[in-house]
Amino acid sequence: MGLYAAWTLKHKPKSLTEVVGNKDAIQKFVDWVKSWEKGIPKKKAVFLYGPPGIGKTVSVEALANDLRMEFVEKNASDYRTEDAVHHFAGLASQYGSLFGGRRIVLLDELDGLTGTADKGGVKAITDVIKSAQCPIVLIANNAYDPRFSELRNYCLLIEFKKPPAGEVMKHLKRICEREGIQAEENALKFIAQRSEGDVRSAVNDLQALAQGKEKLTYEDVSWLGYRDRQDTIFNVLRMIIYGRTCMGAKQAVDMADVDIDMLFEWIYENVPAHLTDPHDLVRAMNALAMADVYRGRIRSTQDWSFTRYVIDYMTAGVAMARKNTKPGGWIPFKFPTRIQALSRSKAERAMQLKIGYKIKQKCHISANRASKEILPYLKIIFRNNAETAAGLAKWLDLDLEMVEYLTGNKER
Amino acid sequence: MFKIKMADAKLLRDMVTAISILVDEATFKIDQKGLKLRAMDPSRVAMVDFEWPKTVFDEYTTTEPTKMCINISEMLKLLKRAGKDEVVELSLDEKTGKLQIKITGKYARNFTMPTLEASEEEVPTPKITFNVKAKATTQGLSQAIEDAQLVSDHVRIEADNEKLVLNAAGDLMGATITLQKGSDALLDLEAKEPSKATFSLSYLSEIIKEASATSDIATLEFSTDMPIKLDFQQAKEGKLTFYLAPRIETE
Repeated sequence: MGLYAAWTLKHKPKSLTEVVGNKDAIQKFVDWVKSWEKGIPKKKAVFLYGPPGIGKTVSVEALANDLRMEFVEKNASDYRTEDAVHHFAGLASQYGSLFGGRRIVLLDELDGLTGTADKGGVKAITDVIKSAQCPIVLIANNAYDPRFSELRNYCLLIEFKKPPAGEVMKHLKRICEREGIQAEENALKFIAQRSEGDVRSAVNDLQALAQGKEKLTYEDVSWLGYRDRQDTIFNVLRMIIYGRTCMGAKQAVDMADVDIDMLFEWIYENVPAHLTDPHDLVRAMNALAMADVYRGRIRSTQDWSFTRYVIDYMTAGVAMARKNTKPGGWIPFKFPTRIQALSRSKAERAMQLKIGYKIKQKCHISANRASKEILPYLKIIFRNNAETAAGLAKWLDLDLEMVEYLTGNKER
Repeated sequence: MFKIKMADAKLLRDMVTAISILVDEATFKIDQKGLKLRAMDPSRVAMVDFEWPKTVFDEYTTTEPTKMCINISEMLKLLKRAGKDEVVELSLDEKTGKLQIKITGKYARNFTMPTLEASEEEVPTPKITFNVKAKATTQGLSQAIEDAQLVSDHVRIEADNEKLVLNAAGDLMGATITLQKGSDALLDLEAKEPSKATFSLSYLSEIIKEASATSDIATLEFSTDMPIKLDFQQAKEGKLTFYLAPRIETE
C-alpha cells in the first residue's frame, strides 16, 4: 500500500475485537452466525442498519476473518436487476465453497437500490434469502424504508449505533501508534467528538491532519470548526479538485457520504472557483460534461454499470484538468446553488403541481402542462377578480391552501 | 515488458472466450515459463485455472515476470476481429502501460487497450480427493448438458463404475441422461465409490460450450457433495481447468 493509501483501509479492523463500539449488536450478529452450525435458523439473513461510517461493513469482514469464513461481497450498484441478484447472490448462497469452508454472503449498500427499475432487485433478494443455504448479510442505512417492508420479514434486524466519542478516540489512538505519530490526548478527543460517532470520517480527518507529521497537537486541529456533515464533503472535494493521481481522486468517492448525483453538483459548483486557468477549467468542464452524458444514459437506459464512467470523469477527469492553475491561497467550498434553488422552490413546485392535477381533471390536459400554462392566468384572475375566482375555485374544487397560494395571500 | 506472438489468432480468442464466462477482469501472469491465469467468479463458486507454456506461442519474450490485469470482455471484442489464419501479437507498452494487440493477416490492425490495477489476491488450488474420474468427449457432454437444461437450472451428476448419470429435476419437469462406459460420449470411467453431487447448469453449460472450442476431450473428477474439476485437454501443451462448487442439498 502506498504512502497515500486511505487510512480507513490501511487500519481497517481485522478482528471483531478491534471494531469500534456496538458490542451488543456485534454479539447478536456473532450469535446468529454461530447458530448456523446447529442447522439453518428461521431467519436466514441479518439486516444490519445504522448511519454511515460506524462499522457495519467492517464488522462483517472482521467476523468472516475471525471465524475463517469465505467472504463473498457485492455492492448494490452491481446487483440492481433481478437477473443480476439471482446470478450472484443465488449462486453464492446455494452453492458450497471450492475450498471446503463455510461462507458468508454480504449484499452491501442496499440504500442504493432506488426507483422502479430496481424493484425486481429487492424482490429477488427476498427470493434468494428464502432459498439460502448460508448466512446472508444485508446492509443499509435505513432498514425501515418502505421498499424493504417485505424483505424485513425474512431478516433478523440488528441496529448499529453511533459509538461514543471515547471509543472513537481509542481507535484514533491506535492508528497514531501504528503510524508513529505522537498525538496529544485532547487533539484526538477533539477529532473524535467532532465526528459525532462517524468513525470513518474521524479516521479521514485524522489522516488529513496528521499524515506525515510526527506530532499532532491541539493547535493542529482546533482551527477546524465544529463538525457538520459538510466537512466530510470538503475533504472529498479537496481530494478531487486538488488530486494529483487518478486513483486518489477516485478513492474520494468512497469517503463521501453523499450520493453520486449530489457529489456531481458539489464538484460542478466548486470547480470554477478553484481552477482559475481557463484552459484547466475547459478540461474540467469537459470531463464533467462527459460524466453528465453518462448520467443521462443511466437515466434513459437504467443501466447503472455506467456509474463507473460517471465517477471516473467527475473525479479523475477533474483532477487531471489541473495543469496551469497555481495554488492560490484559501478558497472556500460552496454548497451547490442548484440544489439550494431546487429545494427552496420545492414546496412551491409541489403546490403548483397539486393545482395542476385539479385543472387536469376539468380540462383534460396533463397536470404538468396545466401548472405551467394555465396556472399563471389563474394567478392573475385570483388576484384581481374575487368573484370569478370564487366561481373557479368551486368548479376546480380547490382547497383553502390552493386558493391562498393563487391569491398570494396567506391571511384570507 | 513482454511480447508474445501466435500464428493462430483463433486459439487465443477461444481461450479468452472460455475465461470470460467467469470473470470480467482478469490478471494474467507472464513469466519465463509462460502465461498463467487463475481466477474466481464474483460469487466464488467457480474457478478457472489456465496455463500456456511458452512453447504454445510462436514467439515469446519477457524481460521480467509481469502481472497484467485487463477487462476481458473488451479484449474479446478486439480479438473477435481476427479472422482465420491471422497472426496475433500481444505486447505491453511500458511507458503508457497499455496493452497492444496487433492482428496481421489480410491487412494489419494495431489496437491498444488500457491495463487495470492487478489484484493482489492469490487464488489457491482447491484440495479435493476425487473418487470419480470420467473421460468424455466435449461434444457428448455438451449435448447431455443441453438436455438437462431444458428442465432445470441445476443437475445432479452421479457415477459408479458402469455409467455416468445426469439427473435434472425442475419444478414441473425432469430429465435423466445416462452415459454408458465405453459409449461414444464416455470414453473412460473409474469410480472408487459411487458418488453424486449437484451443480449449476448455467455455469456447466457455458463452460463446456466455450471450452469445447479449445478441446475435444474433457476429464471430469468429482466426489459426493464436493466440487467438480473439469479439465479440458489441449491440442498443444497447456492447461484449461475449471472447478465448480456443489449445490448445497437440503434433503
